[in-house]
Formats: sequence, structure tokens, C-alpha cells
Amino acid sequence: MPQPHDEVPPAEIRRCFALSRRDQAIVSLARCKLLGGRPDFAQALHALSEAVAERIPAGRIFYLGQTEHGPIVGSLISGVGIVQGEQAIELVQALRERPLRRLGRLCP
Amino acid sequence: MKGPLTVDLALHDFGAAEPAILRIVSLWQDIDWFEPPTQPSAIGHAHLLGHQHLGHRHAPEHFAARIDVEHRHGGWPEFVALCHRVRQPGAFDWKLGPLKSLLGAHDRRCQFSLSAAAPRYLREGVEFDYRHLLIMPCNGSFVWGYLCPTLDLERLGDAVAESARFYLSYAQGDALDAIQWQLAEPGSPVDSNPFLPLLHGYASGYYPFALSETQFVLFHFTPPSTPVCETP
Repeated sequence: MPQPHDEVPPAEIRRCFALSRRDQAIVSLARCKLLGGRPDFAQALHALSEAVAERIPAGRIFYLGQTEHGPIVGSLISGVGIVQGEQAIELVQALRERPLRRLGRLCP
Repeated sequence: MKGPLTVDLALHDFGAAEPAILRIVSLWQDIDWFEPPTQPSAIGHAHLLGHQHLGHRHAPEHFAARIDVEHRHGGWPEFVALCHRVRQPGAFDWKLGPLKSLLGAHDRRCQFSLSAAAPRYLREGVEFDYRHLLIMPCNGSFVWGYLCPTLDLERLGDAVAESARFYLSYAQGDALDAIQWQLAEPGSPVDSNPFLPLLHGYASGYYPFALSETQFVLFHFTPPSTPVCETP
């Protein structure tokens, strides 16, 4: 079972080539915090916020845009964030002036 | 290059920190991005040293008492090259390193938690709209709004626009750091805010790049060359 402070993210996150090492570590930690659950958006945001705070001192989460299901929030630098999908919280990359890229579910 | 902000500060109530925050956002909004300087290089230099001096006063472990500043100028190719240099793997990470440490230490010293404070910054009766809020509380968490001006960067071409967006995003971090500093310590004079001189530097047309804790490049754009008139 992955532990909250594992340095090496799970294989499915490492394979997600859109993620930098910093993003991989943050997403991995957020997933660990949500393990065993099927989070709603507020729970996922809370886990992501805690993970960012633990990985980056005074780190931030930004509003990146909007879909029909709700706001996209995440890293302003990489555009990697989360959004409410049709059935679950999805991991996406939202860069300005580019189409939204879906990277899979936050919690498989 | 200037553009409007999508954030509407009238939706917020920042209490005693409000005058300082309005001053910070006003300064940020007035910056004419990626244009030749409006001030002599000594002014840009002084702003960077002013920031370093205040940083050293608050966090001497992260901010050296003395720094080397190399002045460079040029156009987009030189600016893009500097952006690439500081983004190389293993390069010194100024913004997520010393600057974030400075802000985090200040929050702790002030016993300030933005997550806890965020709900009280919404003006009463305001309709919750992610597009126009600067700080959005959400069930014990919060999300920052987008404070970058809307600029027409696409006309610069993909490679240049990408570097400009990178620089602007990190500079926006300085503006948000300045705001968070005032929220953590509402009574403190804004002139003692270590992030404010960075905004003054951008406003005067000087763009710092940190290569290490003691080595900086201060870049400015040169005016387009004047066409030479040939005598008949």
C-alpha cells in the first residue's frame, strides 16, 4: 500500500507524460490522502491543497478555467489540475489557448 | 503591453489590509509588460537590491547580504534564452525556493493560515464566481484567482509567447506573495513588504533572472532600432 510520503509515484502516474516530477509527486500524495474513497470535488481539492502545501512551501492552487461540470483548479505553471468529470474527479492539463487535455481519473 | 485583469477586487473585503492590497494591485495593473525601460538602469538595480535587502532582513538564511547583478539588454531572442536558462533541469529555483520560503516563514511567524482566513475575505452577499474572485474559499481549502493581465501574446509566435507566459506567471506569483504578506500582517507598512520592490522593478522595465542565491541577471528590452535615412 502506498504511503503518504512515498517519493516514487505509482506507475500509472509516472506513465502520465504530461506530468513533471513535481506534479507527479503532488498528484501521488493527493491520491494517497484519498485512498479508499470516491471523493467529491471539495474532498479532492482539499487533498490536493494539502499535498501542494507539503511539497512546496507556501504553494498555491489556481483557478484554471471552467467546464460544463465545474471549475478546473491546479498548477498555473504546468496547467495540471483536477475537474469534476461525468462520473469522477478527473486529472487534466489546462493550458491557456490550448484545448483541455484529459489525463485520466484522479483516483482510478 | 497592457491588458485588463479579470479579477474584481470589489467582490472582496480585505479589512485592514485593503489599502495596501489596492496599492499592490494598482501597481501590478499599471505594468507595461515587455517594453523598454521607463527609468534609468540604476533605478531597476535599486529595486532589485531593495527586494534583496528586505528579504535578507526577514530571512538571512535564504537572502545573501550582497548579490552580483549583471545588466543585459536585447530583444525577444535574448529574453527567451534567459527564460530557457533558468528553466533547465537542476537550475536554481528562485521563485519556488527562497521566495516561497520567505513567504511561508512570514505566515508562520504571523500565525496566519490563508485556508482559515479565506472565507472572511468574501464581501457579504457576493455571488460565488470563480472567474472574478482573487481568493475563493472551498470547504476548508481555497483557490487563487488569475491575476495576470489579458495580453495578446499569441502575435509573438509560439516560442516567444510560451516564454512570456512563463515569466508572467512567475511574476504574478510575486504580486500574490505581496498580497499574502499584507493579509498575514495587515498593519505592516506596505513599503516594508519584500515583494513590492520586485513589482516596482517590472513597472520600470527591468526583469530579474536569478541564476543562484547571489547571481542575478537584470534584463531590459532595447527600443526597436531607428531606420537609417539614406541621403539622396
